[in-house]
Amino acid sequence: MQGEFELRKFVAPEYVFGVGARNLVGRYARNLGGRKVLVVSDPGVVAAGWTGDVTASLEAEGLSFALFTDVSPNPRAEQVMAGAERYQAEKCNAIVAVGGGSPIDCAKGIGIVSSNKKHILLFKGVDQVQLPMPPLICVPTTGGTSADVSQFAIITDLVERVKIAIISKSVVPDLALIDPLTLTSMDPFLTACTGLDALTHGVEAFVSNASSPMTDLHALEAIRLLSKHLADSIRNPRDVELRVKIMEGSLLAGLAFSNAILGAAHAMAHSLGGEKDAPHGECNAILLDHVIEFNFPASPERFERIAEAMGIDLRGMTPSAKKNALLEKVREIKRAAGLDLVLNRIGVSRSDLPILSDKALRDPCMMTNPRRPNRRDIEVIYEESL
Amino acid sequence: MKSPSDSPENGDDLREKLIGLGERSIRKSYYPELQQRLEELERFKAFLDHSNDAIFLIEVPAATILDVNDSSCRQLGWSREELLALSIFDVTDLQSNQKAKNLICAAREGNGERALVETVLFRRDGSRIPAEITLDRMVFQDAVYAIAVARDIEKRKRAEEALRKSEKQYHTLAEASPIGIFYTDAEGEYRYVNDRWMEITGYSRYDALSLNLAWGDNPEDRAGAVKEWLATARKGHPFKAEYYFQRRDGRRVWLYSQVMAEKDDRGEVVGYVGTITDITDRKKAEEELRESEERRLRMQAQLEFAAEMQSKLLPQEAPVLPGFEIAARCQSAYQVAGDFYDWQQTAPDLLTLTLGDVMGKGLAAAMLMATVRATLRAVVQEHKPAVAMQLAERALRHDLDSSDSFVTLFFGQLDAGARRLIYVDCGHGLVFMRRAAGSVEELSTRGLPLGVFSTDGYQEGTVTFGAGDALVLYSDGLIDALPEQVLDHGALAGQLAGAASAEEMVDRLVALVPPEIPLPDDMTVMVVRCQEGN
Repeated sequence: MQGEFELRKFVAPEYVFGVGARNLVGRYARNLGGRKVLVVSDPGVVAAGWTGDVTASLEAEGLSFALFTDVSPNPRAEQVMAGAERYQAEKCNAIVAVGGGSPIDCAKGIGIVSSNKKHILLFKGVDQVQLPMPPLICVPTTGGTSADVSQFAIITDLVERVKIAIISKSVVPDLALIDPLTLTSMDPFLTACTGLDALTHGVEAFVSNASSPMTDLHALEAIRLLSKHLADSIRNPRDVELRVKIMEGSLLAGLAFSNAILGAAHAMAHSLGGEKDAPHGECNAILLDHVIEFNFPASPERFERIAEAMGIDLRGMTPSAKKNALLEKVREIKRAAGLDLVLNRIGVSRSDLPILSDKALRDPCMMTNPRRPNRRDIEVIYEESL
Repeated sequence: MKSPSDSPENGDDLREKLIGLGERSIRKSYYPELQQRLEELERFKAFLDHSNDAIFLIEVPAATILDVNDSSCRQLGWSREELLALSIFDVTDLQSNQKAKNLICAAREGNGERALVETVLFRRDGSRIPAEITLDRMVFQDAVYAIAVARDIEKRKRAEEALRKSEKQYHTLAEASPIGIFYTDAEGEYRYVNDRWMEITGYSRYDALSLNLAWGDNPEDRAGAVKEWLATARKGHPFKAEYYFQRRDGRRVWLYSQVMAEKDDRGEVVGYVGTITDITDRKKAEEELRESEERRLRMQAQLEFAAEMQSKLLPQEAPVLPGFEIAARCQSAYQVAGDFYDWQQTAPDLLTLTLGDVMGKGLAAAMLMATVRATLRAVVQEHKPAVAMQLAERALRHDLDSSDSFVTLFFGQLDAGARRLIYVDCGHGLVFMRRAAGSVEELSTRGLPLGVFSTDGYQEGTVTFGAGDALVLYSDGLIDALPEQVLDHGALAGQLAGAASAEEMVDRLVALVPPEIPLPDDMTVMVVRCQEGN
């Protein structure tokens, strides 16, 4: 499927990486022409104090702001619309998102609605956003989603119980201020979930049928950093050096998947998230090794490179031994992160599988999976994950 | 491992788009949108620049000019750069208007404050333009501004002045007018009245404002009349009416009014313009004339009735008298006459004849004439002429005395067999005998008219007829009608030459007076002719 001469595009936002990057919000908001800023965050991040740092930075630059924190995990269309209304009422002209994937996706949604004046669910799909959203600065506080550098915004439609994906290069934020220090407030479970989410990004981007040498670089380095440091990072939450590694890995994985796109694990995780409101990172973690097992035959040499990046010495192994070694490594990482879990835990039963599989097959991420699955394939993967 | 349900083309297409190779895929760029907005802005600016109004954006409270449109530069003669270095007070007289000054110079925030100020613009060359400026306060991006939109009102000012002058002329004209002039609104409420209107109605100008068009003197009738008036006037017809109007002092006058609807450009009635004239005197005169005419017609009818009556008193047929023919005609100057003639056959060959003329003419004379005729009829049958006249005179004396009148009368008794006429001439004298050969013979026996008292009795005269002789009797009406002719008996007799009958002789004598000449007096002619065959 992949040829040497296929077209590839690479889009990345401007970003500043490093401890203290969050404090540059005021300066950059001003540089982007901001006068009044809608700050989108969630109560957990506010409690951690990162939102306060950001608003202080805005105030220091003399910029006024309005705070919008009514954002839940798996942000909902209603929350996006309420935020857009707030943006309008407060006469804002720029948006800053502070937090994990939820506030950032919600902020993207608010931006899209503010410019285009239509309901957020109408933008479902690829390249459906006509007018560019207002300037958006992202300050990610989890090392996993990479929504701060990606072209995705995932919004939950509570009525249809489905996560819709809004995908467009114009959804890529203007600026990401990536401050690893913000990761220090994450508890071990969240660190684990987001870390495995990031690892899944790296793996799926690398084996994606749309990968390219540019994304491969980022993806492999992400896999290397995350597989090496995640467990330590969970055990030593205050170790900034480790947090830097994880944040770096997350960023690289984000740059890779935003351009090479993902695969079956994400398609199936999105389906689970919409149906069961399950944490995205957890779903990915549960599915990752099962999806690798399914995809392995489609691209064994790629999976070998992943195994090597994870530090496995494959020399002298038979192909099936290589595969088992990789799967074992992934399961080991899951165990170390405390995410050696099954779908039963999040309330999925056998009877849910047909509808989950249907939705997963329709998810855009399935398009770049290296092996095209049928419905039964997906059901089997879900079954194995129960 | 392919899914049969997935169309590979669709999947590939979606994949292309996902990896950013879709037709519309581009990283966020404001440029296309920016360009569109800028174009809109350019268009808007062009639109402002083409405005005839001068528009200024003013900083509050410094009053400095921050932006202007092209029209400002054109009208004031300053360049844009020069204007931007000036204060709004340098180019307008807004300084002298407290409200405008407050609006521009008050530091407190305020959105939506507004003022309309008449002021002047100062041109660069020192000249001034009268202008009307709309001032608005607005807050934009937390800064307070005033916007001044100035409109050149020089033309309007001139037009206003011209209008004021023309209005004054019309006003003077209206006040000097000898007729009452008023103007009402569309509902008929008075809006303007001139001095003459006040004189006619007795209402003051102030009173008029609370009046509606008052029709007639009956308040109940007004509404109906106004409705009729509105209906007529709305159709665009001028409305004219004469009506009774009760003045404020209660006096009632007749008014003649003309009203026209005044319409606006869309044809809607906006008011009514009208005039009133006091026609009370004319109405009075007309009334009197009408009454007198009525009386006259009544009199006329009576006179006609009297005339008919009188004509019946004259003999309707000529008498049949052997050897004689008799004809007569009476034409009155008015409907009724004081003249009369009469005859009565008292025996087969005996006939009495009368031709009388009561003094005066018209109805009074006619009444006396009837009395005289009746009296004569009563006495002539049984008595000889002189006695008969005596009796008649006695009977009539009182009536003639009290009416200061008298009657001239020729009375005769013709004996056809003897061809002899015995007559009494009571002061008449207008009688002659035309002998067959044409000679004239006077009848000389005369007495006094009836009504002139005398102790002498009446003398009888006698005249005899030969064949072809004609006795001609007439009243003074015949000769008075032709005063320029000398109509003595000879001349009259001459007219009768060759006439073959009494009737023809009467015709000829009557024909002397052309029909178009109005008779100054009653005219009576009688001819008694002795036929020639006997």
